[in-house]
Amino acid sequence: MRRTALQSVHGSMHHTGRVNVTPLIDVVMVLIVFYLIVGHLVLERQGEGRLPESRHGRELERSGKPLTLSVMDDDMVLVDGLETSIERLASVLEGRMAREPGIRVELRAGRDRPYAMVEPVVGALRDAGVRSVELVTEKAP
Amino acid sequence: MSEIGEDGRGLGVEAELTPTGAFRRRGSLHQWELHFGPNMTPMVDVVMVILIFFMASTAFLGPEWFLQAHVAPDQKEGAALRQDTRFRLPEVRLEVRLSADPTGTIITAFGREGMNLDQFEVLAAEVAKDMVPEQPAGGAEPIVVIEPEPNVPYNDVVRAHDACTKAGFRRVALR
Repeated sequence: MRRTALQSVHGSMHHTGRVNVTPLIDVVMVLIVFYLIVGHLVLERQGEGRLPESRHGRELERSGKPLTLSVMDDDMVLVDGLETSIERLASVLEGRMAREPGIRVELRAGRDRPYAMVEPVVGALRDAGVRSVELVTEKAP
Repeated sequence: MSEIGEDGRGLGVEAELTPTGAFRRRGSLHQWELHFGPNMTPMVDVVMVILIFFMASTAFLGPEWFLQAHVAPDQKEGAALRQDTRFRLPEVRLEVRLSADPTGTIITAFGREGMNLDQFEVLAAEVAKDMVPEQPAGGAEPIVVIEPEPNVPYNDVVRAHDACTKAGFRRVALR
């Protein structure tokens, strides 16, 4: 089957008569993923609150995945993103320490939280045998 | 008008209609590249959006700093440790008490009461100059134990810790 040159150049438009929506779908899909991730982060941050500021902290080289504890505002703590009650925290930490001894522990808590909300977490760390914790802060301007 | 086959290679040259109505002749090689090269448009779109995503998320997250805090033993465990000094000198513990006040957080430390955070920062630097060895000495170094009252804002606890770190104390603990 043979076609003329004019049919070849304008053929697709004549045959389909539609706009190519593939790039649009690609971009929309990526935007959806972007908003899902950012929305999740925002929710996490809202629960956790704004981090306290420090001037003499240090940046850590991210070697290995740390154990992250986020103090939330409803007597809950996120242990690597999973909600855990304060009462269960010590046992959860003990189990984790038994599986991964020496894992680096990061503590995230909002700057406006009273220490009463952080103290039980420090107590649970003590009970679980953790002797050192990294307080996560924002770099002060 | 020349003709081209199904594969688009054409039989020599092909034509394109210009806005003026005239035909412009194109080489078959050019036509091949035009129609049969990989379509990069979706990939460029996606890469651009991913780039914007990472730029935006970096700005959103901001830099994070870490303060290393020791976890102070509880009263009973601490007392037992202090008594067990058969083979070493007792640990030097400096207690920093934080209490909430309508005017802000009040600090009692190093034998002085009623300090605000700025005054504490100055005093901590003076004390550290006398007490902290230049080289890390492990357990022989003094340990600063921060003891906040429950209603003290966590931000002030971190500021007190930050002041101790700035002063040079290498062992700062939270109770």
